[in-house]
Amino acid sequence: MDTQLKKGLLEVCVLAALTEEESYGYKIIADISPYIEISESTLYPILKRLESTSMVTTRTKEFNGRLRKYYLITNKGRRKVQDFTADLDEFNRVYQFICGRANK
Amino acid sequence: MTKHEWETELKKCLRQLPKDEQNKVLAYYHELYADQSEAGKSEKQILNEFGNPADAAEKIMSDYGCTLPTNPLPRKASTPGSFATTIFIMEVIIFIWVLLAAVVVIWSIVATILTVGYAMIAASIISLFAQFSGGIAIGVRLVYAAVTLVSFALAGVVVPHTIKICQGAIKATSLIWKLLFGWYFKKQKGELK
Repeated sequence: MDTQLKKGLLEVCVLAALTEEESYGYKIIADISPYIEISESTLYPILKRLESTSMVTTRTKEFNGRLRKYYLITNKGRRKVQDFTADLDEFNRVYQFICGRANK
Repeated sequence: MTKHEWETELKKCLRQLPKDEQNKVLAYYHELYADQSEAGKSEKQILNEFGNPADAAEKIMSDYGCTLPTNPLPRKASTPGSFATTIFIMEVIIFIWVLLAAVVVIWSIVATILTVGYAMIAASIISLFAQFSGGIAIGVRLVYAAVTLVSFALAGVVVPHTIKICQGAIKATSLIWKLLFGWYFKKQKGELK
């Protein structure tokens, strides 16, 4: 997949992985990787960007005698996911146009 | 490669980042390693998934707008961070003070020579009123005159050279200051690799 396209999708994928409940790094990768390729080093800057833009917040909880960082989606993050799903129709139209022209 | 070696290599590659950011990245990988280890993966499997630490660092640093340093050896002043910046500024200030102290010492020597000369003139004048007998009086006054002449002769030789030395020292300081700050700020911006 194109790098720029993937970059945009990955952020929304991470947010989508957090919509039901808070999650942590390893679980986020495990949830997303069946659908889109993501590595540990790719996830870190995404999470950092989402936190700096207030789409996620973080908290640390003790787990098995060590500290684990959990990520929680904010209302702003939920709006971003909703905006993405609303854009799907337009994306589909563009996709159909490109496919139509490419197959001629 | 062991986990410790992997983390050490990653830390080396991240040295352009501020210290607290480096610690956050290391904590992130430390947590991922612990989670994957608890899931039953071996050290080798986990590190294979993490990949090359240099590649991992490059992806992280590209988000900061930094590039991976080509020189793998750590260099003292290349890591931006409040502590390294403070040390650098202190070193520059100390260097300037040492240079100024040297200039003051040189001028102190010149001032001393001139002071001796003027003191001898004063002593010569005072000796005119001294109660010495003829021969001794002449001898004392000749000594005073000789010391005065020698002092001013020395001053005449040293002062012009001192001015040149001080001018040279000030020019050298300005040039060194300019080079140091230029190099330092280029490093901060990541223009130097």
